[in-house]
Amino acid sequence: MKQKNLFWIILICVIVMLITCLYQIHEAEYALVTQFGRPIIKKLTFDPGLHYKLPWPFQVVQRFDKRIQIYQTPLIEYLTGDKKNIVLQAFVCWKIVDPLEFFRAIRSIDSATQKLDDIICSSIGASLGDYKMSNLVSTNAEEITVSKMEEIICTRATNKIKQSYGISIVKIGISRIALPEDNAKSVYRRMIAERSSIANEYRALGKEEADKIKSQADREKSDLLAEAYKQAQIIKGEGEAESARIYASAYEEAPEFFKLLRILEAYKKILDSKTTLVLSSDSELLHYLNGKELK
Amino acid sequence: MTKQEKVSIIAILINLFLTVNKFILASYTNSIALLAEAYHSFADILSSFLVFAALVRDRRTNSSLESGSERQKSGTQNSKSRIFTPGGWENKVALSIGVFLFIVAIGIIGKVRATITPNILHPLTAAIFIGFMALCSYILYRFELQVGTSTKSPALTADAHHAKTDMLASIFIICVFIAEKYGIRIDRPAGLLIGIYILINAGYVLTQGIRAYISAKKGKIYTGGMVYEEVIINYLSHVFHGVNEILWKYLWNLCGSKNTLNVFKQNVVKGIPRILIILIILIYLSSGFFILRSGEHAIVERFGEPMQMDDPLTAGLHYHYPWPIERVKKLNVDNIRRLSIGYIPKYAGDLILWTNAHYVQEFPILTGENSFLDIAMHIHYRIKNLYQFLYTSTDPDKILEQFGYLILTRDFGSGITFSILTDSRDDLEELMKRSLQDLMNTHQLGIEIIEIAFRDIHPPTDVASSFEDVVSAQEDYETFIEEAHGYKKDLIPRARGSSFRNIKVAESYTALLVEQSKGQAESFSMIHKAFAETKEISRYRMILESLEESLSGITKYVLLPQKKGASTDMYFYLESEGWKEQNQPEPSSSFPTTSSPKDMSTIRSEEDMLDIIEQMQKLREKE
Repeated sequence: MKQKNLFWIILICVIVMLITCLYQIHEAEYALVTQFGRPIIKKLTFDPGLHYKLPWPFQVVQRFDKRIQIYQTPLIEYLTGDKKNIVLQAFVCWKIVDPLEFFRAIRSIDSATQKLDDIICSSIGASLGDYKMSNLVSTNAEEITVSKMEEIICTRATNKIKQSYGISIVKIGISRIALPEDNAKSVYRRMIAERSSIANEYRALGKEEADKIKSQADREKSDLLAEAYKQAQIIKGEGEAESARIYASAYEEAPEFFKLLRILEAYKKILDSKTTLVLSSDSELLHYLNGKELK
Repeated sequence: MTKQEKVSIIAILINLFLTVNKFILASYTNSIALLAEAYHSFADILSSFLVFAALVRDRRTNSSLESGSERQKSGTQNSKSRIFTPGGWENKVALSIGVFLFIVAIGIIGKVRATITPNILHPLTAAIFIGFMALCSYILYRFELQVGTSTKSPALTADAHHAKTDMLASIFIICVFIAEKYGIRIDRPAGLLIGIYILINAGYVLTQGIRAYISAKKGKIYTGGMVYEEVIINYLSHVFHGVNEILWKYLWNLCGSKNTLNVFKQNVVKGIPRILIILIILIYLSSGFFILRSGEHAIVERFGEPMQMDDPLTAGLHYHYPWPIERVKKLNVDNIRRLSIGYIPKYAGDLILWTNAHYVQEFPILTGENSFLDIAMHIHYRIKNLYQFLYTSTDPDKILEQFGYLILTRDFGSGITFSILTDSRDDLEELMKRSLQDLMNTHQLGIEIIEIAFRDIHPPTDVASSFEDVVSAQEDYETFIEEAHGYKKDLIPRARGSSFRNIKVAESYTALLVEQSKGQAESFSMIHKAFAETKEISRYRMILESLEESLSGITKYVLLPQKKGASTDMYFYLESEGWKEQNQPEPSSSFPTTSSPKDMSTIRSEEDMLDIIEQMQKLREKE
């Protein structure tokens, strides 16, 4: 009975050990077999599928992700070639290419990102010295050389990590370009000034246009009135001429009588109530006053 | 301490453990049924305790009587009734348990009736825990039953049945929880059921206690009937037994077995482990079936190696070798995913104005003119190639997001602020979509960009008001011009009217003048005609009439005829009163005197005369 139990226990142990001999490698990972912590170069496998090794605890599998990893640097202030402060944020896509080297030098993704962060930030700082602000941000599209700069940063960083890290950089990209707080504030002020000058221009243009229209209207009004005045005068003149002609044609028939009538008429008008008349007693009117005969 | 007592102590401890666990689980899952069950278990502890007390008392009374096998019999016979020994503390405890259970039952029924009950949380996990507890109860039941029958202690046997009901209740609650998992909400009815059960329990304990008390008062020894739970269990097992037999017979007939029913039964029971093993293997094998819904693609990995690379499995029923040989990775490929870039959204449905901060955080983007714009961009995308999507990068969404920022920074870095805001939006969207797709392709991320949409682009909120001011300035521009047009429209018709009036006035004047002159000419002719007939007389009359008319009512001075060599003197009548008063009063009005306002009585020249006339006129005006 006891022997039977022992047999079963041994059998289970053997099965468990046999199971630990087999290991799967996923499509997205590398596997490295270590024997008592020492990597076995022969057992470095890249092919996915089922593989075998010595059972635990003799050999252990280390797995590394084969896929592209992404890391985002924090926002860091740099100085451009033309002495302008600029805040950049970059990201880096990288992957493990040499699992053996990676295992020796870095071991974990976290420490890899830390080391990458150092390298990338220094590469950006070094590369940025060769570029002006207008190479990053400009209305002239030809002047911008961000893509080229990214490539240069990439090669610079690649050169640094090439041999000793076991990783390769797939892509470095600048994800954000910003300005330091104080500079940003002055940019805001400039933007406000720009806008208000444009607004003022619109208002002034409006006033100009309005004045033009109003003065044109005034001009048209005076033209109209002048024309009307002219016509009125002509009409009046014609009327007066007509009436003069009528009078003349009537008076021409009896000029003597007209003169008489007109003088008498004139007297009436001239000698109004305010007139003070001084008469000579010799006058014909007062002829009888002197006791003379009426002529 | 006897074996029975030890068992009953173990029972108390196990019940205590179960009760505490049930209370904790009930508060975690919000289940009423479980809470009721916890109270039920609590009552069980007390009854276990009473059983223990009864056993202890039995032993003491029996040890004072006799020994041997008789002891067991008489002791056990009394043990049940002794629980309800009148006046004893057990009776009082039993009565108080009854009251307590009664209150609890009422409380649970009240809870069931409450309108709002929270959903049950983690039903499956709880079900597994309760399953473990049911197992504990079952073990306890078997243990107590075994000890109870071997020592022939009905108290223990009764307690075993208690444990059995506990187990049944636990299984019942497991059913409730599993039903809950599948959306069938029977927690409340189950709670009600257990509540009613506790109520009956309480009623039974109370009536038993009261009856025992009354009979004790009358001096009788009360021997209770069956424990109420035994009644239910007996009934249930009876029913179960009947159903069981019927089923066996049916199965026997179905198989047409030549053996007798009992042999058949034995054969079947022997075969059960084999059937179970086959079942387990079948279940294991069938775990490889998987269904892909429309739009879902899947890749099967055999020992980590993908079996399909460029043609993943599409919708339908598929099979893979069960774990650990093969595994499936499936994703919905047709589903359009959405990614926000440039901001961290606050919540949907917010009013988006330039001047209010409408997101948790916005990242200003620097444009070509060195000014900032806040941009909210959305990328719509879907998986084009599942293999690439799964195996080229650890986090395709994060990479896409970063590439989105890259494109945004680069393309806006060469843009002109105002044109980005207005006319070149569509072009930018198209351009960015293309360049982002290029990046996706070069890095083989297996992502297809469907659309890039700017949800809103606006200047930073600090300066937005000045941007809006430009728009209102544009409005002002229009306003000024419209006002001027209004002025013009008012002015010109008025001018036209007034010039028309002027012309008409001139015309009417002319007409009047002409007609007037015509009339006068006519009248002249007529008068002349009359005049010509009596020329001299008429002439004289007319002169005189006109003189009369014109000279009457005016001041007149008459000059005497001038003598040669003498100075010109003037004589006149002083008509005016004021004149008289001002000068010395003259005796005669008709008497010709020389007068002088300034000590001049005689007018020597025409100038003097004019002076006087002037003065007199002034005087008259004063009057």
